Amino acid sequence: MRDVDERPNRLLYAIFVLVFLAYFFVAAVPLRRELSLHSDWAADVSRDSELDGASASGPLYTFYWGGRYGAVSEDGARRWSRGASFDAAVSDSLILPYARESRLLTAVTPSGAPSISIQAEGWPFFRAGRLFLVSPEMDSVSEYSRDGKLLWSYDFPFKIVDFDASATLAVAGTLDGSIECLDAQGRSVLSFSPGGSRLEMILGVALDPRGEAIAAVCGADRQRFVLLVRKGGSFKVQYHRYLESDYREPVTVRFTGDGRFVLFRQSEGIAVYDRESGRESVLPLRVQSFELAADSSRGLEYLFTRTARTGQVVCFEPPTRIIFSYTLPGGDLWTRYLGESLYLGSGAVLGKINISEE
Amino acid sequence: MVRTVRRLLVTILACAIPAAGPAALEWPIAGGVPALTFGSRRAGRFLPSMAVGPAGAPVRAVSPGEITFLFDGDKLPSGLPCPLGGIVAMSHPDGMISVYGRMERGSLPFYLRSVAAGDILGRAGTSGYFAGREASFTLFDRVKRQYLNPQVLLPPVRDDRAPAVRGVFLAAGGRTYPLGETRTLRQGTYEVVADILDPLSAPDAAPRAPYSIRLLIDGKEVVRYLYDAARAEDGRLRFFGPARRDSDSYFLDDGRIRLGQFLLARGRTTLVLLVSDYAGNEKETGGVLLVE
Repeated sequence: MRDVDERPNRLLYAIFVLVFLAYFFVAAVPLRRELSLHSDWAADVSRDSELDGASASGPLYTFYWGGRYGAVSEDGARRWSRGASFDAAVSDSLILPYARESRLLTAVTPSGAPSISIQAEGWPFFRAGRLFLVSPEMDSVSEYSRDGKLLWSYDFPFKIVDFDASATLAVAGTLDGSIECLDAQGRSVLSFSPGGSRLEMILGVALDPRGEAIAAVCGADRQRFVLLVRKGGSFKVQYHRYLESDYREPVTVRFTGDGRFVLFRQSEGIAVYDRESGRESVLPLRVQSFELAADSSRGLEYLFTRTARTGQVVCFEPPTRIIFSYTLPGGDLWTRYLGESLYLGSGAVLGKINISEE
Repeated sequence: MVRTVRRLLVTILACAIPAAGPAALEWPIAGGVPALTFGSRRAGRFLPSMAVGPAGAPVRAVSPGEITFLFDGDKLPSGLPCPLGGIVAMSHPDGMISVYGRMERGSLPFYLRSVAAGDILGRAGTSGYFAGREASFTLFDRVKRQYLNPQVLLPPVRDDRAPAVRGVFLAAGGRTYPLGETRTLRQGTYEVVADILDPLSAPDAAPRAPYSIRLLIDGKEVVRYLYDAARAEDGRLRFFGPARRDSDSYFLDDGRIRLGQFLLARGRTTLVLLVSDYAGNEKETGGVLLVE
């Protein structure tokens, strides 16, 4: 009688252990990561200053915000800053301050030493480390080498309102609703009008960092999101969706660092399209524009946004899991994610925040 | 007679282009005098639009349409610099797009969608690359994907002054020979360049472009530039006329216009340059050369 009673208990126990093991190895979700932020240093860069200890080793990180440009070392000890007469284009290796009606651009290196000069009319900018100049009428873009030589110049069919580049491609959106894609030599490889709307224009366009996909928000009545993917030698529409929005102003479109997700502004937040699953979700952030920086080692993205009065840093795990959010005073904001540190410039203060996982 | 024929041609063209475009346009700035006309030299290349001022004046829609794009600033949210400054773009029912650039910050109608001709879109000229001067006005034919010369479609500006030809020059081997001062030349290929501007009736120094330029060598028309439209082909902005001149090679650095290279054979050669403006005023300049 006793043996008969114990058999079902053992059986239940065995089933419980099996279910637990199965759950543990198959269905368990890892614990959420905890990131902690530690302020490393902060410095006032509101006054003109020259570099101290220029001979010291270590890289200098360039910055520009609030009308001031300069560079800072990792420990913040070595830094310099100057006021720009109008604006500045900044890359890792060059800073190009420029006047409103500039005809001669003179670059400086991260150490503040004069570098290349470019004689051209227009405003410079960097994309994917490449130096471009947009013409005063916004109908032409030129690319310059790091030693200031004109590589190519391309007159677009109409005025452009957005531009992005990877190492090998460049893409522009025009006011008459066309996506124009150029190769590294400035030759046209694609001229595509998404159409499908009563009014045609491109409001925002972005290029995947590897140059494999182009995303755009275009048209009005009805507005569309379009994703083109490179197949063979050409680009084909992989996905499109009509949107509820009716923007008549620039719309930010960005790929994440690995190119898997596309983010674009929508009325309910930032839409996040997953190229692998084909699913779309929403980051609940109502912002007009944003920039992205990838923390590829942790699979995280940093989203930087600004309004007239505040700047915000949002760390999230794509598609939409927000890890932390950080609000800064001052609408003009400079942000950069390097290694495991966040460099922030806001108001008169430049600082470094170390991010560690616990 | 010649003036009448010119006026007739301009009128026919003004009617022909709107066959795909608007029936009539209003000036973007009331009583506006263009500071720079279509084809003028700006930033080293010819301008496929026009500049209208003065800065601060209200800018009006040239014809009814719908606003498709508004931007108020010097840098787009994506970080792309915006030397066109504040922008209002409108789509018109006839397939035209009008773009008003370098508008004053804070003056743009973000609340508007449909716009009637004459509605105020903002104030001119205090943003972008040429801030503090004029607004930029561009007219674009969406169907043909080409820029149109707005002045062909806008009401005429009173103008009784002929274009000015400040000189015609022949250049070869690093030397320049002014036509009129030169009597003899050696046989060979010469580049003909001309220093041309259209002063309008108001005396000011703005180097406006004329409407047409024709060069005749020994009575044969060898150049005909018509400032009616331009389009980008293969990444190069070109006049959409018989000459199809490239924007980058159109001007010399000093602003003179390149008319092309011509072989001058032995004997007497007559060069005649005919330049006309939008009102049909015409200027004829020429000279006779003995080519040895």
